[in-house]
Amino acid sequence: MSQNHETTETPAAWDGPAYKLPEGPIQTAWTERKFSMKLVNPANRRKYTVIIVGSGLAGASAAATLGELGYNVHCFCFQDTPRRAHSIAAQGGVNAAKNYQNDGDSVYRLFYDTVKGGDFRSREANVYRLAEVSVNIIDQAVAQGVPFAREYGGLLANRSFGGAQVSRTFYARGQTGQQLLLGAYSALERQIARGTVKMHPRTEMLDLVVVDGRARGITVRDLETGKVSSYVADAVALGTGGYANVFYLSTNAKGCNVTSTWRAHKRGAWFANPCFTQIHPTCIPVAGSYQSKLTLMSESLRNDGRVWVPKNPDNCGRHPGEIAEADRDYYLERKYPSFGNLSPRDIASRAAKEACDDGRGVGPSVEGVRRGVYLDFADAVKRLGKPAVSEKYGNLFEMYQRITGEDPYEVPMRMYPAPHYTMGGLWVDYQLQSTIPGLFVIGEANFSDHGANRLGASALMQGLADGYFVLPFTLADYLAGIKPGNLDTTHAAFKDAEREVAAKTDKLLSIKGKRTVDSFHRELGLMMWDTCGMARTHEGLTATLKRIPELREEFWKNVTVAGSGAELNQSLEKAGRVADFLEFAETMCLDARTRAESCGGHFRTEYQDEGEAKRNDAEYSHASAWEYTGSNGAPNAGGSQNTPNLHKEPLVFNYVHFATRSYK
Amino acid sequence: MRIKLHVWRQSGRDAKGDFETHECPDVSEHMSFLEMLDVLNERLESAGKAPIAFEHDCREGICGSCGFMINGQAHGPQPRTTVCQLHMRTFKDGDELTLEPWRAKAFPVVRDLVVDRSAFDRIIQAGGYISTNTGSAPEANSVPVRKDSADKSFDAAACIGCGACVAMCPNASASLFTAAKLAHMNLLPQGQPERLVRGERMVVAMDVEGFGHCTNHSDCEAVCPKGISVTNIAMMNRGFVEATLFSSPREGSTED
Amino acid sequence: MNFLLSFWRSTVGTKVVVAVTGLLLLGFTLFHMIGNLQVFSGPEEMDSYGAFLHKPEILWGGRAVVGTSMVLHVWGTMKLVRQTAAARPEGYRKWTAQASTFYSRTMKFTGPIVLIYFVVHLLNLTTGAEPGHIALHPNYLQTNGVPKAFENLTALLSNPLWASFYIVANLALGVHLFHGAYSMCKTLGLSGQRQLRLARVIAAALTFTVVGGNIAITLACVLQLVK
Repeated sequence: MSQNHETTETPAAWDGPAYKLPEGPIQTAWTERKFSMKLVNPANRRKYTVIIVGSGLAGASAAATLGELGYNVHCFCFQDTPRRAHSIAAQGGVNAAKNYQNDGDSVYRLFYDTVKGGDFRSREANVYRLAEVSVNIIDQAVAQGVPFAREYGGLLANRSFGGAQVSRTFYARGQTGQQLLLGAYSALERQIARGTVKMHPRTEMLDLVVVDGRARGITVRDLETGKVSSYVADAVALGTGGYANVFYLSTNAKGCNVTSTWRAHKRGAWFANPCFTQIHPTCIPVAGSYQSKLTLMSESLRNDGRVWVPKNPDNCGRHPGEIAEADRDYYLERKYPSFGNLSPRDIASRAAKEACDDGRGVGPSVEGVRRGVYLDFADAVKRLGKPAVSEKYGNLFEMYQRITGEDPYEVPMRMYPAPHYTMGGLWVDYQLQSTIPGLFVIGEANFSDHGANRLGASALMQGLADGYFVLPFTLADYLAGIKPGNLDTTHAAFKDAEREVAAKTDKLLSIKGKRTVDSFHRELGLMMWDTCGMARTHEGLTATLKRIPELREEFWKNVTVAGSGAELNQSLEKAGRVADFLEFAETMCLDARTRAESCGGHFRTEYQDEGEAKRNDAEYSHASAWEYTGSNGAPNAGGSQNTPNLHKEPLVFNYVHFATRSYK
Repeated sequence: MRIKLHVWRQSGRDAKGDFETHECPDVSEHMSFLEMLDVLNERLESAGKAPIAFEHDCREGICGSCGFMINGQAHGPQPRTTVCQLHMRTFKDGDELTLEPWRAKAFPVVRDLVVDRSAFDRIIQAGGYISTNTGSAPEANSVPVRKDSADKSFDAAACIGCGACVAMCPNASASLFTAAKLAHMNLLPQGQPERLVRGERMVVAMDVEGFGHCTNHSDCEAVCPKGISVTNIAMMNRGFVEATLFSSPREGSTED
Repeated sequence: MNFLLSFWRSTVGTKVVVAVTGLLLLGFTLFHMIGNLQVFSGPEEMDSYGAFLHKPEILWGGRAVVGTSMVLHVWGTMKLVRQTAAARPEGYRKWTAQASTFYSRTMKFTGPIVLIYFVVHLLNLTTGAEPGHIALHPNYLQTNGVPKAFENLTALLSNPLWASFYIVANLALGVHLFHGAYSMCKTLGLSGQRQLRLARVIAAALTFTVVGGNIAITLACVLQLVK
């Protein structure tokens, strides 16, 4: 590894690997770093094999770019084609500091907003770089044919998003994620056709292989044939997304999982800030116990919709039209008069939860509780007229009606918050390298850029920034320092990993218990949602920390997985993922309990100022990186607890100064 | 309500398949179609039986994973709706539904209702991209795009690659899929340099995969969850004629 | 010429060939029908029209164009039908039409009927002109190789069985022409919504004209309105 740019001294409190922050003015840091990093001779690039796991925005853009550069790339995804990665479902948009609207935006402002929005729990240098390359993302996407919204003059349109004061969000109707992903996917397919990238769809990474302290490959299961095999590489990059499905019900795709990052964690990669999760306030509420996932409705609905619940719990079962104006509680307008219905995501989410916990929720009662609040467009229709409302929100209303069977023009929409994005992830240094040399982590899978809360339209930006414009440089710097090749999958480390994967599969199939995988996942999810969701307490987390090992033990004794390991077996796939969630959830709760402050999406009930999050910068201005201490490969199948070691990376703010968020 | 299902079961690519009948006794009208199958699958799993394999992921109608035939209709009876967004209130108590996988030579059945749609990826590999290496892009606003072109391009780009068009087409043709990608790129100025070659190669790739041809039935458009228009197919045909008959071989050539 | 071969090999290329030849054949049926309307003007006009058609350059030029079109149209279609059959080796137990029409779905049946009609029609009223050839006609008359068009036509169609055959065949032709004429526009690249609506109207009008004209002639003969 190159030593020449470990310029910032690592503070004494941090005992992990150097995080290689650049020194000097933040505005020129990335440019200077790019110059100081080593390059790989074009003729030598094909000798280096790189594995990319995941084909979402981060994975596909990285695989395509590295292929273009001439590396020998293998890309893996569990879906049937790389185009289906969950980045596709992002609706809103992608931020970039283009300042096309001449409204005072700049790279520095995007950087500032992101650090502040992240509630001072992200690394300044990483965020600045993100803001800096954001402008290149738009250029790249447009050149690939991404059909962004345009003005009549033919130039790109922008909108303001998520309460930002400038219009910096580029969008493609409500399908920005899909269009950006298809751009990256087409670049990836072009490289597949050229032979620089070999794609492995329907192939799930089940272990990371570390040889002599470096990441040297992965062990995978072919989801169609069940064959377990390994791939060797000179470096591995994970772009496998977030872990919001630990809550079972989330807006994530059903297949989203923590498996690849968790397995890498067990092989030595530290997991940072797992408790930082984002809850989206406007999702369609749960309709019944069979519910399989939650659907997000665009936040833009809150621009004109008014949020309310009945003042009196006795009115909750009545038709909303029968509840008089005086009996309604427009709680966001009441509590936050200046921001009202446009209060930030975390605040609006918690307020909805409080109202429902107070017994004033609306909609169908699921397991004894009504979890929903009204989002009412009656006033907007009165003020703007039905055609104007339909023009703005017609497609969203249709989508709502398709799912709920209710017409939002007749009955107010019902909304409830749902887990949506996870800011935490594998710890990476400024080079996006984890604590395992040769293992890089990109996109939502890493922890680096969003701190404790992500701003709207920044997830797409980060995935593409990492894949197109950061990893190709930092990976080259790593590869330039090592010799290519010299290993194959007959090495003992690969054989061991394959054996462990096969043993775990056999074990899952042999239990033949009474409970289905989904029933364990649902129980875990509900518990996590109740105690590690929108509001967390020391007691609640402690109880859950006691309960998780018990549930895990039961899982390994009583789960039922039909079929065999040598075929397409969707239950087996789910079982492996849920087994990992059952381990991961514990670290997540531990992190939430250890962080005795409220910041961003992490709200500890004990630490608040009249309902507002109370940050503790003196004690918690750090990233919490957890080191796994259990056995490397084998699952934690018993009732024993995971006891990871905590390492604290201090966060230093030289440019953006601590301030308390206030929306009153 | 009570729903009776006749589901195609097939244990693997080369296995022989057949229909299996299942009763779903307590279906809620608020369930999505896939949630009904989830409940059935949990019951099968508890009984130690193999659950029905079906593809799904986002369950918001955008990833394109899900899809099968419900009573001879791709994605079922609700227009512009993928099967994951189809809710049981569309059906009535006592309905009997036949679930079959997409059927096409180019979409071999992998298991039950799961088919292999990698042929679509290979059509894209043949030319469904604009060759732009990372970093080489010009300033985004340096090329204005007429709004109507951008909008039309977008309409075509909305394709989610689910394969319903192939499944519903009496000829198992992939023309709508291929034409949508061509229209997406060819309607933009960025797509012009490779327009001819793209059109020729993708059509040839579609043939190589063994899809049928288009006889303008328009069944594809009717079941497309994104409402992609068959007029894109006419544009594809025109482009193909231009590329093969009326342009010199080197025109718009691309890397190999 | 390689490019023509690869054009023909592709499905879109074959479709274009089928469409272009279909267009020529549509033109042929239209002009043929218009020519045959001479039957209403009496034997002299009809026969001199027949004699005109038997000028060698017109006769052989026409035969070359129609014959080549017919061969390519049928050959191309058969190639496409084979490909289509291979594209879905295992069918559905249930399949519910969405937007496809009776016209579009019956092309593969109406096509062969039209082909049989074409062949029979040749045997009825053309091949008899060549000595020693097969003729399907009750009483074929000719002078110096030029058929007596009016008598041959009225003699044939005054037979109710033949007349029924012609009417049925023309209905099939109509179904075939209607979808064919509209579909051909799309195959040849017409993509505007307004233009396509117009194409549909024109296709319907042409179909109605050709089929209406042919059936009118047939009815006139069988009902002995022209003699």
